[in-house]
Amino acid sequence: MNYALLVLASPASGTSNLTAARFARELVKQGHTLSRVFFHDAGTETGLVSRVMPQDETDARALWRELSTHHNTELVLCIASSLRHGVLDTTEAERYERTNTIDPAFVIGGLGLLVEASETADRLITFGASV
Amino acid sequence: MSRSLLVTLTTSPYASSRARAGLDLALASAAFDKPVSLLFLGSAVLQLLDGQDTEALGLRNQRKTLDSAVLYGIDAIYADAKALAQLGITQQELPDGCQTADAAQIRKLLNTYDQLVSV
Repeated sequence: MNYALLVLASPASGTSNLTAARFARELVKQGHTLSRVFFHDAGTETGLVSRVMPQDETDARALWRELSTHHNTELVLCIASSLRHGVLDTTEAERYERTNTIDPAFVIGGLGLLVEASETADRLITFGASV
Repeated sequence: MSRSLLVTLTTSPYASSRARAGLDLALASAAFDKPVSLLFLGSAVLQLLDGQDTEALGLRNQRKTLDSAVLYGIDAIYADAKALAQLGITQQELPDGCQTADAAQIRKLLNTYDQLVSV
């Protein structure tokens, strides 16, 4: 089955982001396809290269990076949310005269990429909804 | 591009960036020709309130963004009837065309759409 994921939660608080990364890892392990993960709102902080997690905690970003490297999963950060949460690629860093802060495993893109993924996937799963 | 989408909003308008992000997601989906409806649950019905003044907050007015929903082609807006009653919000304070939904109607709504996104 072809899946698309929407991740709303920051890796800095709660467990939703890590749960999403583990779910993603399990999907590909079981032979499913995960072509794109879309990070929105605080979820865009996942792509922040400057975050350092405590040594005794699991770094969700490392799991996401693995998916990108070994399974060609596209990791897309919503552009509006990225700017708000301080994640800038080279283009945006130049535009706003700031420093590049994105992990190169991630790309910045528009919400249209979420719409596209939701139309082509068999399942769209959201992680980090407020309860 | 034809799968219908129900975006469920669950947060109050200005406690976090979530309400804004949810609406952005819905409007973008509608702009890409997806049939989109909105469901406001719990304290998210506060997003619907008329007369929001966010100047002092320094934040974008959620109700104003919501009022542009029709322009983007949002099909329907549903509000949690129980939450409206609890917060003392009347129909006059809601956007034109906003429909109220009780628990049974909300359950039915959740089964009507091809895709659900809860933010």
